[in-house]
Amino acid sequence: MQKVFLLVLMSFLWAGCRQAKEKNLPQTIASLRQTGELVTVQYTLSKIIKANDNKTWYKIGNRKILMSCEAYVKAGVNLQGLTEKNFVATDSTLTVTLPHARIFSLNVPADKIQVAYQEVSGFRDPFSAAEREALLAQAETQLKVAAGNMDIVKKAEENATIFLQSLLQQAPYKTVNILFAP
Amino acid sequence: MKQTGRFIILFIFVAAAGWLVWRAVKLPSLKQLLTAKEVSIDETVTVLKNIQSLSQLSTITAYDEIVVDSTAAPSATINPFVSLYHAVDASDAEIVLIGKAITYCGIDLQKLQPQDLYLSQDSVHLTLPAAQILEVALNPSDVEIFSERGVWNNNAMIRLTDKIKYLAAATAMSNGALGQAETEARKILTTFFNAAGYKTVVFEFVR
Repeated sequence: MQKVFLLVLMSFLWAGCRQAKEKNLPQTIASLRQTGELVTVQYTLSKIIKANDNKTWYKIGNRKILMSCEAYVKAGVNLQGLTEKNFVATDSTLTVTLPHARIFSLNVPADKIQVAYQEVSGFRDPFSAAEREALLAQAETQLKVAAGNMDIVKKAEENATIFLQSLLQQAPYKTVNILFAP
Repeated sequence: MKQTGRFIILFIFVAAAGWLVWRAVKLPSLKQLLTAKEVSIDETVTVLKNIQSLSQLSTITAYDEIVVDSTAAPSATINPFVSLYHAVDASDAEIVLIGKAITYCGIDLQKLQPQDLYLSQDSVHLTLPAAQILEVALNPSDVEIFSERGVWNNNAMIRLTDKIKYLAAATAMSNGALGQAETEARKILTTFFNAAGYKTVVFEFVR
């Protein structure tokens, strides 16, 4: 009788310790920042992500996953902070000195991520959403490095030159030179 | 008694030798032996698929941290062994995501036509398209899975991240990001043309 009473009491204590799940989770307030980037080029990159989880000795079985993703990398020139010192005008020639272009954003959209193949053996579970995201975060780092090694900055400067020349090459300037300085 | 003493000395000797070997060879500790190894992806080639020329003036960047959650159909998604030893209501699969989204707002200058720009000796008249949301970025490194129960496939993750991006864009718009983007574009272009020698700069935004 005493044991039954203790069991019932423990059940009540256990049930009382469970917390209700919070369903309506509030958003935080967004913060706005001013920028002034003239974005002139977008590179579309694609990557295959391969991972093999067989390095933990006590986990019996193996699992592999193959995913693909795309990334959009934008680059451009920052127009904030330009002053009269950046412009040198003669009768019909305008020379503009701009800062060097830089990579502005990297976007790895989720709808371009595909799980192409997954293999699970032994007593292993399939890759969870958190594990897949961790692998994708590693791929994102590799994509950032790869984008930095491409000529996206040079291409951005070329496009910025074409755009600004077409914008400014009207009266009174017949010739517009665009230079880039650090 | 003598044998016990010999045994103790032998044990101390073996323990000391083992400790010296462990220090010298740097064998892994017990914690390291029982910790699961992190899964790393292989180094693969990054392919450049497309190069697109753009002319976007990005003037406002909105940062937002958004929480979304979702529950799914019961029992079929839950490992039956988990439900036995958890002894809780394991009938719902649930996931909670925290996403840090970045919303870029500005003017798409590719929409400019030749007739939208008029430059005279000392004045500029520019008709610009209305500010718009240029892009909402939510990368895998900005997604934190706070809680996960059950099996959530890639399509489910796409729907949840799309929801975060939609909420981020809606929040940016309700905070007046587009109006601020136009104000900033006006400031930047006015400074630009003033510095280029044009005294009067007039803007008009097409709605």
